[in-house]
Amino acid sequence: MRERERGTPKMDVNDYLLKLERNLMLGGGRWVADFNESFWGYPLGDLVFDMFVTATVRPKGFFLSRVAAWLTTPNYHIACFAYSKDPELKRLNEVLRTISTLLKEQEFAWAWLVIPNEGPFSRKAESMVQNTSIREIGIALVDVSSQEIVNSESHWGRRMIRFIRCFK
Amino acid sequence: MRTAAPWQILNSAKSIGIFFILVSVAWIAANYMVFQDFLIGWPVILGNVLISGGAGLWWYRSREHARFSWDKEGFELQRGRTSPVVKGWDEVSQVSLVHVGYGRFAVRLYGQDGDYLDIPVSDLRLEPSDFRFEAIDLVGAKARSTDRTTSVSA
Repeated sequence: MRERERGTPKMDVNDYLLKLERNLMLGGGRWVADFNESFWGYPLGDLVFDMFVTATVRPKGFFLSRVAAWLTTPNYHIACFAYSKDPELKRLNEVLRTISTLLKEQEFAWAWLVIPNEGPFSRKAESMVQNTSIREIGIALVDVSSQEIVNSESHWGRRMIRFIRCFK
Repeated sequence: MRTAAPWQILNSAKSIGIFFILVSVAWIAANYMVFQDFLIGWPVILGNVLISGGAGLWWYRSREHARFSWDKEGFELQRGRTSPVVKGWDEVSQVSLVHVGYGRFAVRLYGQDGDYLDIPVSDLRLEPSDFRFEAIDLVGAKARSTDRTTSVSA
């Protein structure tokens, strides 16, 4: 799947990640989960992720809504990773393995992996992402210059699109 | 050393509001026990407002008011008149930005052993994201200078 937006000024990867972080914590991301903690430069295994945002699915709210959420919503953790150091996706398997290990160890239910870049991705990289079929990790390539997004075809890959499209 | 200690309107309003509810409930309960009736009128409400205002402000100043000072070496966080937490940036291993709800943020400083301290940046009227990056830089700079000192002495 390929999505594109036009007519907005250029931004770099850091600007995009700041907007993504804000969108997850205060914007549309709240419809998915309560993204409440964000790390930058987060070391995991041999990798250092640009950004790592964690969330719980159970919303907080005030007294009654908190009680209702506690009674009706399961409390599992999810995460959003951003990794911009490998736009060629030469280390994609290692990145996915590292995330999968964290998901198992910390009992996260699923995760998003956002790979932003200031320029287009190669066709090979795009097809790698489109053909990746890990159920619990949604992957998206984000070209912040052209504002083009290529995502994986898994459920979480398709669902993440509207929450990571934050270029304005 | 830089210091941030503005008047925290939300925290003081919260303290006053809680005392207003407590004083109101106490007045109603006392009335019921003594007179088997509820005496409510403007003088009572005014008295309640004055008492809860005074008590709330006292509580805010002694327990809630956050005062944060920091420089290149470390930082000091004090809540009200409680004893301040004084730490060096070299004691911090990880920095994160935490959304504590209702658009308010804290910067969480993790210690080497996994414990953490929350700096209430929204209460202190610091720009949350900017202060987060400043803290990351200070922790990184301190770690680099410690590494250099260790390698020179070795």
